[in-house]
Amino acid sequence: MNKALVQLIRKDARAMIPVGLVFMTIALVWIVQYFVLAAPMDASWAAVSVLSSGSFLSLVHVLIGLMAAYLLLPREFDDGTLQFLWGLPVDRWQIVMAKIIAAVSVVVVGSLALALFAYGLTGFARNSIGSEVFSWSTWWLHFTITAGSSLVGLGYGVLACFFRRFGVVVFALAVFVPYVFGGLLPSLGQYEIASLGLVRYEGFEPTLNHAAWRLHGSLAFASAIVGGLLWMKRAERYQAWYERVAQSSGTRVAGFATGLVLAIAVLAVVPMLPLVSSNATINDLTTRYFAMRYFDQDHPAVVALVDVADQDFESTLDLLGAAHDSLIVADLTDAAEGHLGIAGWNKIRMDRSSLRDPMLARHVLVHEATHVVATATADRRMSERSIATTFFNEGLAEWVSYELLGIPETREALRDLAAVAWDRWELEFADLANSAAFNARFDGDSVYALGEAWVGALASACGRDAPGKAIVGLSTAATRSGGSRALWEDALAEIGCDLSAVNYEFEGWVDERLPSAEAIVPRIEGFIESMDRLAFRITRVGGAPRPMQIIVRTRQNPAAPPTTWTRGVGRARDGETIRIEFGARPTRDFQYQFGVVFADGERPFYERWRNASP
Amino acid sequence: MVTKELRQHGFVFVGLALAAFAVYYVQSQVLNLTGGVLSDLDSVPLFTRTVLIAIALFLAYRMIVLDYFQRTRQFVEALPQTFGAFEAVKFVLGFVVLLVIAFAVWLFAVIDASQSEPIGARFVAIMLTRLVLFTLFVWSVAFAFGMLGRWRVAFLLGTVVLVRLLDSMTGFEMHRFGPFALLDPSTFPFERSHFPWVAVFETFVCTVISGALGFGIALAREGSFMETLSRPMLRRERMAVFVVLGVVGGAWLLSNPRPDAPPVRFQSDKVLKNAAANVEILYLDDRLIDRANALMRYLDPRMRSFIETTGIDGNLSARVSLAANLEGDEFQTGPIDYDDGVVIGANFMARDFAHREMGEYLFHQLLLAGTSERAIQEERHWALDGFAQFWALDDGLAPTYDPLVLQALVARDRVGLTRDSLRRWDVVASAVGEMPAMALATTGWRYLAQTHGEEALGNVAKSLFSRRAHDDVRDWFDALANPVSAAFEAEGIDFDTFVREWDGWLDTFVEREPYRGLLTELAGLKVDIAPLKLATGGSGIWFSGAAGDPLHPLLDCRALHLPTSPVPGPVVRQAMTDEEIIPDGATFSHLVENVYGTGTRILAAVECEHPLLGQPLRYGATAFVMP
Repeated sequence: MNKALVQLIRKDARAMIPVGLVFMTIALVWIVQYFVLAAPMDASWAAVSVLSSGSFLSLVHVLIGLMAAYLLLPREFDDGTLQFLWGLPVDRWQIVMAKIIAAVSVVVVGSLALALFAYGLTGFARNSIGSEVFSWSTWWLHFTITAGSSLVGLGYGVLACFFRRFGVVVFALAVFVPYVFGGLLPSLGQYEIASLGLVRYEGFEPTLNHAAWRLHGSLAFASAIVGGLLWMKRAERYQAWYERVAQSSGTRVAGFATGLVLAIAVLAVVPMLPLVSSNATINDLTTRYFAMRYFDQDHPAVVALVDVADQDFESTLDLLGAAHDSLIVADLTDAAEGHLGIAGWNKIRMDRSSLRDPMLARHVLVHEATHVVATATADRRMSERSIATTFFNEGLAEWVSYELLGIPETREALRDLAAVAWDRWELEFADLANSAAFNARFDGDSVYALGEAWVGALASACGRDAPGKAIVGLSTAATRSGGSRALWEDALAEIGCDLSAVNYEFEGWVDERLPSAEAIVPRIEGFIESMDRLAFRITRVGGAPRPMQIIVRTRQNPAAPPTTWTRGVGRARDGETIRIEFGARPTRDFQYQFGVVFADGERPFYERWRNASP
Repeated sequence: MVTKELRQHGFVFVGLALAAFAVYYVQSQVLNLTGGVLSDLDSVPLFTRTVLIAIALFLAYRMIVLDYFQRTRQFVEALPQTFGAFEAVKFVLGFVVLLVIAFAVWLFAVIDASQSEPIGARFVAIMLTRLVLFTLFVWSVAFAFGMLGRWRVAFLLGTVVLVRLLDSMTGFEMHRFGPFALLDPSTFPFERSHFPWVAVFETFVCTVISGALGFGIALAREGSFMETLSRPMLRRERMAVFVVLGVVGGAWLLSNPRPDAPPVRFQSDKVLKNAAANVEILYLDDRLIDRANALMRYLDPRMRSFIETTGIDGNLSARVSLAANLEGDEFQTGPIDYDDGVVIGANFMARDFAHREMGEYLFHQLLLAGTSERAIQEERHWALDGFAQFWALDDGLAPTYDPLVLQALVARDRVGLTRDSLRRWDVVASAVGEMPAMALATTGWRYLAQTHGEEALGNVAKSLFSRRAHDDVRDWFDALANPVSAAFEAEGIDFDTFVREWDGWLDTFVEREPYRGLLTELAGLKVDIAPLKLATGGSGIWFSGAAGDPLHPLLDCRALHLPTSPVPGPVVRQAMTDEEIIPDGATFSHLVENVYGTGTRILAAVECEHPLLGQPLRYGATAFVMP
């Protein structure tokens, strides 16, 4: 390496002091986290390393790399220092190379120092099992991911910084768009930059997310080369062009006019397309409590619903001991997938298909109206603690609807499902009161059944007015701190009831119900027969003798929205084994679940979610 | 001046409007894709609470901060203008630009929403009141921050952090306050009847304050104050800002904590209460009063002496509630309140309910509450486990045979009894099972009482269990300064010697019958656990075991399995699925079929309960990945 290059590297390394300060700040944050906000004994290797927070650490390091690039190149160019360097008897490539070497050295050394610091922190940890997590191979993985992420950021940064702020905007979009859409389109997930920090497991052995590293590694490398070439050959020309564009009002106006036209086209025309294609006429009907909007074709069904809507709503208010003085807007034009209705603050949206069956429409309206009343009575505090209250919220709405409308067949099926789910999944109250954990392991929709039965137990143990009073109790208890169980203990104490008494009643009900429910709801056993074609072999065991619909559904992970799940169906008699094929795996790792429609037209019973990876 | 501003920033206004529409479009499409959208107006609060705020901050930067950086203002001041007119024009123009953007987005959403819901005049008036006032507030805040020049970022960050802390750590509910309530996504698209007057008033006051602050800074000392602010901050100024923000924020947090949930109080009249022993038992059913009384008779003397001996807070109470879903030997912890006590769920109506086991669990949880969980730090964990069981025992060790001693001997055989094994208690408990480990620890307390007397035992317990955790670095220093050995040494007992002698004491049981025969029988059992691919195509877990001699006919073995995280942690026995294994002479085997998917990480073990052992002993604990 020649002397000039070494001197240039030294000079550029000095310009990297702010990057060093960022590394020191991260170390400081760790110190505060593990010495002030927690005891250092909690600083286990799993907690401080990429094993638990890889995505976050990776994103932070990518940003550090980006920062390093912006510190080295544009600042010097704008200060005129770079032009001075161009005048020296040194090749331009050497000047750019010196900067990149300096940046690489600083981010790698900084990442190394942080990785050692993290290891040092774990020296305070006092837990034998936690200590077993540490191994030098996982330390090396941690260092590789953090340092590698910095280098990826640096590679992207060399190109992005050529375009100054525009580069930042494009980079932000490149991070933001896959982040937002990754959940909706799972295959986009690997383009997320934070996925560099995801640790994959080959069995118990942690390893890099190779797909993401191949993608971002090669793109960052290409960006660094293109960026370097641009800085060497086009820096002055780009600057001159940029200034010309910035000063020419004609160019600006033309550019923005084009953009405006395009934006208007996208904004105005696209949303109109469904309306253009639809020739439906919209009607309104207002009652004492509801303002309904619906399609003209649904008029007879809506009139039938309107006849009983106010009466049902008054009965709902009586049952809950509540009052409601605002008009509820009911949108009956929705074409929803996956639900029959949703509700919020004085608003209901019902799936249009529910209008086909008058009793179903009443059931949905009463269910959703109960949500409206509960939301208003609790002043939205139930939804603020939704993880602990979802089962109650849905169960209450079902309970009110069945108490008022009867619908015995549906209610019986729901109660069979509740009893079987409670027993087969070995549930406890703590499972119900944590909807996030519940949805990760079980069928999230079963909270309608379980909640309805639990609210029934609440009414039996503490009085028929207890469910309505519990809404008020919850709204008071939700203002205070405490976990889910504390919330429920507190809320029921507010209405003079014990959580234990309700659970005791509920357990008694399950014991009574279970024998008959077990005779109706079959068990579904199965396994993945082929991972390549994603085929399942499934056996139905028990239940009523007639053939029943068997369902297999898959999802990427518990956070994946239901719109991204896939579903396959078949039919089987008792003891029969069937094969359901999907054709292709949704993603590399996924979850699957078997279900059975044990009563026609009612909610299916699903077994637990299972994990699968090749 | 308006013309000057438009000429200077018109390009930015149009660009921002364009970008705003594009982002709004993306936001609304994403919202629709995620499902569960209740109204097409849902996207308005989402837009105004994110994009509009960002636009306001950018506008303030372009229209205010840059003017001072570039000294444009000095030129404008030389013009014959009314004092303050320059700032007023900027304020009004910025507000109009923001309002136009917000209004256009809202209008677009309203047109969209009108297809599916009626949009009446009152609803429009309510929404517009919210929107206009919120926009005015956002702009007045951005305007004020803009006037802070180079200090604005520090103040902005400080304010954001403070607001977040207030919301998360105190009883102050930010989303129900003024401007945040106006654009609350749960009400903005839906409230058609009531004007949010309180929020309007609060927002108005905040707007006036921030606007006045902005103008005050701009006009103070004829503008020279703002010029000072626009100069780079000195290091000491930066420090002062952070110190002030830290002190004000800290003081507020400490003075306004979120109220805690009140301690649990049983509401039913079916409760047995014993004030002297601080025990309450909720029995729920009149038929169970006798069982509740029996439990109270067991707990009463123990609770009284427990508080006195350990020196834990005497106000800590034990509340036991009937939990019918549990097995007789299974217990649940309700809320633990460090100042009030614990609530335990237990099924004391079950046939196999045992007072002693419930006592172990209760005293364990009480010690956790009394020490704010300091007692569970690993080097003290054995002492916690052992003391809880020791205190729950009815009498001393049975003279000829005691299952606890057998459990302790089995555990000791597997993991040894040294200072190091006591320090690595979590690993020990995972390897042999919680109950044998607990029995081993109990023999330590038993030996201490036997050799050094009840007083020494009480003093060691007080030393270990009378201090609370701080949850910060003080715990680490405290652990260094007060190791377990110090509690023994304070009584004149060398801890290493004590552990050695305790181990020696256990040796004396090994050669005695029936311990010797039972130990040989239990040690002869070899367990093998492995995942396998089934001929049918599925996968399973194969449990098998063999002993030299035929297994005891009453030996009860269960296959345990649990999907685990790749990062190991303590395993809770209750979380594991268990299935009965039927022995066949000197061997047994069991297959778990098609329960777990390919690639799932599994922890499996076999637990066998010998009729003379009293508690299950864990064999062959192993982790693997399903094929």
